[in-house]
Amino acid sequence: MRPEQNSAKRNLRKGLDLIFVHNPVLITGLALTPVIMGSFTVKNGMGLSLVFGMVTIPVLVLASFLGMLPEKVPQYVRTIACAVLAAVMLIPARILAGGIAPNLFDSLGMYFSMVALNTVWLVCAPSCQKKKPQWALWDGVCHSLGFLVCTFFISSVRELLAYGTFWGNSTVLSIKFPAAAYAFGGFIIVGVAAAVLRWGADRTRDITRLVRRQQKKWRMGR
Amino acid sequence: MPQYEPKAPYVRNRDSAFTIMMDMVVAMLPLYFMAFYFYGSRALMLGLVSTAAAVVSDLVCVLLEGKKPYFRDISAVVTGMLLPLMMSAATPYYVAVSASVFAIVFVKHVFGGVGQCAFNPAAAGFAFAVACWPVQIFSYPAPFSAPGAFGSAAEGLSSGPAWNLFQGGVPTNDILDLLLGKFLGPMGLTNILVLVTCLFYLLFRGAISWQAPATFLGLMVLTALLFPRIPETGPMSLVYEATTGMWVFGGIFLLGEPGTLPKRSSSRLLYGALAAVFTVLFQRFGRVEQTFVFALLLTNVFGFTLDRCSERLLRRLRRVYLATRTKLSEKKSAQRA
Repeated sequence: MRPEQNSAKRNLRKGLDLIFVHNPVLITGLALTPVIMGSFTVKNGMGLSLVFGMVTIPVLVLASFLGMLPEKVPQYVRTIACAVLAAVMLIPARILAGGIAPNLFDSLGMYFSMVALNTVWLVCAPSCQKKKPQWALWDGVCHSLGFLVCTFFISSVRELLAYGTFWGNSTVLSIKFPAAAYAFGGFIIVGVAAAVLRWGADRTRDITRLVRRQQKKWRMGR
Repeated sequence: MPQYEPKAPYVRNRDSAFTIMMDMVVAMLPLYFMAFYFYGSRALMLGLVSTAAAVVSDLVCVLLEGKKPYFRDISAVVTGMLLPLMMSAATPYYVAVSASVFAIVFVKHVFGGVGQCAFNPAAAGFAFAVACWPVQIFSYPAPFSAPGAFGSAAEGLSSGPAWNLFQGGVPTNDILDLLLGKFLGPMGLTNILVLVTCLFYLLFRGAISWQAPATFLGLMVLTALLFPRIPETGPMSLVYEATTGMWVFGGIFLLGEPGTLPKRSSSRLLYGALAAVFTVLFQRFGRVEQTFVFALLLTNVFGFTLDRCSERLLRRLRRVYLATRTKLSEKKSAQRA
């Protein structure tokens, strides 16, 4: 296998890891504010994920293109360019997200605008400047998918606990915990989910190592 | 877990976490007896269910942490017993169970178990219950109405005199009824005479230190006397505030919790004063009728800081004292020479 193919495979795997094993919210702790403050119903969560994706993906691709500029262009100019694009992308994102959750903008308030300066692109943009645009795009897509998975799970749990509904439809749950919709409830649920995911990821890694060791032993035996 | 700063030689103290917690349990028994007298078997059932939930969740957490269960740690029993006393006797069982589980799992074990809690578990559990089910917590049955031990007890409930005070009105209850705890209120908070007896019992047993409760209760009494929030005289305002509020109970059972209390005596005095200031502010500007737990949770944050500040202050004072003493001795020796 050629080294180019090897690096492509590595990049693909790294990107896929961002969805579960290295989830940007639950494992890395990035973009916590919108998840805790905004995703208290599934509709809100999905709308928020759409906004997040529409902001993060173009910004990371732009960062990759900005990386091709001569070194004379200072870093702060590149960061400003990314921030401007993120702010501009909020306008179509709001229109599109209104189709999923009409009250998203009103219920999120200032947190909607804060998605434009989410920590995912602030952290990843410098590394994306060294990547090719297609891999920056892949990074953005995987980060957005990771955010979507996390938001879907967290908002489902919060909506079920707080209102006893799922996507606005009533369920069999009769006891409600309204605190799950509050910020402190969000913090607790995100914390528990992060602990469970980390525990699961560690166990999976242990099992994978064990299986590989056994395979190696069998091969040696043969 | 001694309640005072130990001094050398370090001899093992007779007070341990177990004896302190046992004293707390013993002090709560008269409150449960009074709750049984006023509200019947449902009061005892609430206590049993809440304690069982707390003990089971504590055991599960200990096993999940991979530790061996230590049966002399009865802090979960104390938390489980404290919670229903702050609630109405008609509170649904699921509310008491949820509050207990929250207190043990998310407040006690998340921070590292007994002695390492950043917040008082019982106060946090109650605050959680108030945030989730305020109507169920603050709707009280009449004394001697004996709500059924099983099933729902949601009929014939109404708000108590604490709600009148919160709204700025004067309660219409008889003073004797208020002193004897014969009015609508949380099942363990209304018996002021029993609570005072519990305070003296805990103080004489050495289960709680005197500094924090003394400053807290003293300042609360002074505030009620000097700045009444209702159009009444100072002494009457004090009677209404002390009998209907949660602060007497909280000052005795929650404020002195060894895990969250500062370690130095001077910081404990400040801690009590700070708790009083927050309680008064929450009383005047809060959104619910019983605000002591929220004030306590806010005060808990300052426990460690107060200890550190008082240590720095004492160190500086010691330095100044030593410097002055050295100067004086130098002057004396110079004069002699």
